[in-house]
Amino acid sequence: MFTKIQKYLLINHPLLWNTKIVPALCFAILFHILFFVIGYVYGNVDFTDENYYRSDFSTGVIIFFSILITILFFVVWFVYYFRNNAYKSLYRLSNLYLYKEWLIIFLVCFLNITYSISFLSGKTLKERSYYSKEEVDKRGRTILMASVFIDGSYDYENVAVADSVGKIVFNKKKYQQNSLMNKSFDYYYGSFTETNNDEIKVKTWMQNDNQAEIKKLMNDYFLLIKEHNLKTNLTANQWFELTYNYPDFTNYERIGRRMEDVTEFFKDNANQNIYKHYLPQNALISSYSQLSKAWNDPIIETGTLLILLYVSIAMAMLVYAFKVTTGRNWLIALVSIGILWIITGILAAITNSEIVFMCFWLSIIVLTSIYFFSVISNNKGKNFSGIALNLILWCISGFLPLIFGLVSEYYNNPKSIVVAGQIKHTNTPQYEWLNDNATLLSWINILIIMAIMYFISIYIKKWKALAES
Amino acid sequence: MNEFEKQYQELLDFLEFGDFSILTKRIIDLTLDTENIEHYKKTIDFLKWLDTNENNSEGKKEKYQTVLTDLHTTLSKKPVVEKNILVSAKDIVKSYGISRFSLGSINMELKQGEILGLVGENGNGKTTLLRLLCGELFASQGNLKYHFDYDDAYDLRTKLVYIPQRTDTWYGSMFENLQFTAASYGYKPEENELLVELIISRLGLRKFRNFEWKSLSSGYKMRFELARMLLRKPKLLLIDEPLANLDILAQQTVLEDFKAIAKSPFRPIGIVLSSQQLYEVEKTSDQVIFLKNGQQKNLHNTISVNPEKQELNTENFLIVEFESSWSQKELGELFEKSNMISLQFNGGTYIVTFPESLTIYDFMNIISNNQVPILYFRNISNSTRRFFVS
Repeated sequence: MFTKIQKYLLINHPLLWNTKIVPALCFAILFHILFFVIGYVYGNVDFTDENYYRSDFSTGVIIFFSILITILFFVVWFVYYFRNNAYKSLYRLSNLYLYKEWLIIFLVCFLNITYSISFLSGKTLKERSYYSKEEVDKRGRTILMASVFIDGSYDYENVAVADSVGKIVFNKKKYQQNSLMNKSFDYYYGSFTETNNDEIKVKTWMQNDNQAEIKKLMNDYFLLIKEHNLKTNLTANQWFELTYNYPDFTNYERIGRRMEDVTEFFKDNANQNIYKHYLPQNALISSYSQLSKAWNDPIIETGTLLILLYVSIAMAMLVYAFKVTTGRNWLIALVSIGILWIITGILAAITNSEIVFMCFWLSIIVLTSIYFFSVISNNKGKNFSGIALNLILWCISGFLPLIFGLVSEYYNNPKSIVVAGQIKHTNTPQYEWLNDNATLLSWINILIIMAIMYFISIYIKKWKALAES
Repeated sequence: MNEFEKQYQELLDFLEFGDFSILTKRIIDLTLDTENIEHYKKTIDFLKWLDTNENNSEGKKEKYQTVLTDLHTTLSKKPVVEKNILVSAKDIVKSYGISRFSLGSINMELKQGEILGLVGENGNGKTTLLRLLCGELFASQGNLKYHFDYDDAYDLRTKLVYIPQRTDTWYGSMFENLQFTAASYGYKPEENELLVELIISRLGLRKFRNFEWKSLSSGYKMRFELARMLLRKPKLLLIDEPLANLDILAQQTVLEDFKAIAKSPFRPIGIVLSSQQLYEVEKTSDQVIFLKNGQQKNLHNTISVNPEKQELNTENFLIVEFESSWSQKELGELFEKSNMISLQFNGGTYIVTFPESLTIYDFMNIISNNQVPILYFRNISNSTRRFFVS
């Protein structure tokens, strides 16, 4: 089938045949599906696992393999892609030909550096498939609200306020510092917004001796334990009996957060076991933290997508520059840009100024562009314009960001003012706007690069027709 | 009788004398001239028939006659292209800087259907002139003009196909490379394969269609370049040393191919080729430019070269190259009697120059009457060979 498709493309769409777009797309789609499936399998939540962050190591390994596959793909793709070059052979080409070629290179680069996105998407979708967002929130709140009756840290600043003799005041009533009324909530990623209200709610129930609500909370907690087949040496009633001690909540048994708290015999000062009973709080926190994160984070982060788009543009420029100039020009340009970076580094170190850095690179882009276009208009041989063309292609993506940077620096005028007794840092509205809209500007820059490449491609075709010397 | 009818008559002669090999090639040329898919199909069927009926001489003749008649019917309705000037150069100079090599000034004019041969020793500017004509170099001075329509400089260069002596490597299958060229030049999908098939058959490349570039001899590489060139429909073909590394038979075949390609009545192109093979080039070319130290000397030229730059006007002298076992002294004494101008010993051969009053028959009489032992002789009065003689 592949041979037939390629044969069809060869005689109908030579550019698509030359760029090997179909095999490249098939390869990319296959590996995207594969990484998605791996991610989906990998997104399986182990409700007994007490620290899912440990699994980030495996994510790193998978991302490493995705990069390896990307590199291998590009090696093979280059071998086939660079076999034919209609432009270098001076075949008859339309003005759009080179632009289309650049877009194809960009697409191939983008699709082949984003396997990790498919992996993470598969993982997130699997995590989201367990429960709806509302259900995860509801269960998460149960786990966090129940954490008052499980061992953990004590809070001195959150909902209760310490008085002058060190007692804790909650709703005008004083409690000892070791009272459960002073017990802080557990928390996890994405849980912060609701935590404060829930904490007040539970502690109000306790203050009002609303045993029915507390028992319901504990029963709900035990339903989760049962659903996930987690281990505990308590029942809901025992838990209530051991920890609920109205009105002071000072006489209670400390309940461990995991089985090891009991089996490993943590001793107190009197050489007594601290924990006799435990609940699988760590495991529940860990797994629901994972589910909550899956729902609270977007499937694809805008920042990550932008980074990958810019990396794709950079790669596409490198490949395209090699294709439209010569290997020699490309290498000289690479060395030149290395030297320019060294000069920039020295200048930046001497002047300690970002403006110098930005002006330097902006000048390079402008000067090389002027030189390149003057060579085209003079029509007296290419001279060093091949190297200049490489530099233009590699640096053009930075042109607008450099201008934004300079404008931003121009308007950068930080001020500290006192508002209602507090120091507030402000800046000019223009600076704030540029800062707030950096992402939007990055998107606009991508669109502008796309437009600029159309015009540059037309000039690259004109440049090719120039005499060598 | 127009150009096509003359060529068609030649083909009928080939048929009559059973010269099927060249006839097959010319039939493919005519098929390509039709630019008609139906004819492409018919000729390919005919070629397939030939593959299996190599020894069927009677049936073969009939088949050839049928194909030829069919092509004649179509092509006789097609207008023969008027041979216009393609390129003219007036006093063009390419200088690489003070005290370095300089080419020119060069004056030339080339029409459609003409072949211009560039001869001269190595390092005398042949490649430079070819690169100037194809736009790879720009002229330091002078006026180079192309007399055909083109949209822009890139479009112009697509119409000037330059094949250097060392061609770039082709990667992948040869057939695919040619199909890619055809597709890039906008040939319809249904004619792409037929056309490439015909062209590789025309150049005797059918069995090499799936070969790797590295496994081809330089002669076949050249043929593949020619096949690609044919697909590119150039106005001007510029080819550097096409005969280098070819045996004498292959040289003659390639030159014959050039002639057929250039002189197509319907799709004529101009060809400029450089070579060291003087006699072969002279046989094929309509004009010959000899280059010495970058300076131009024309043979059969239609453009006059600045007479002040001519060292000596030897235009009408009788110049003969020959090989003999006699010594220079013996020969000198003999030719003195016939007002010999010079006698040079030139690497195993003698070059004798006589005034314009003598003819080649007089030279033959001298040799015959005096029984001079002679291995061969060649009248080089009208050959660039004489430019090589100091």
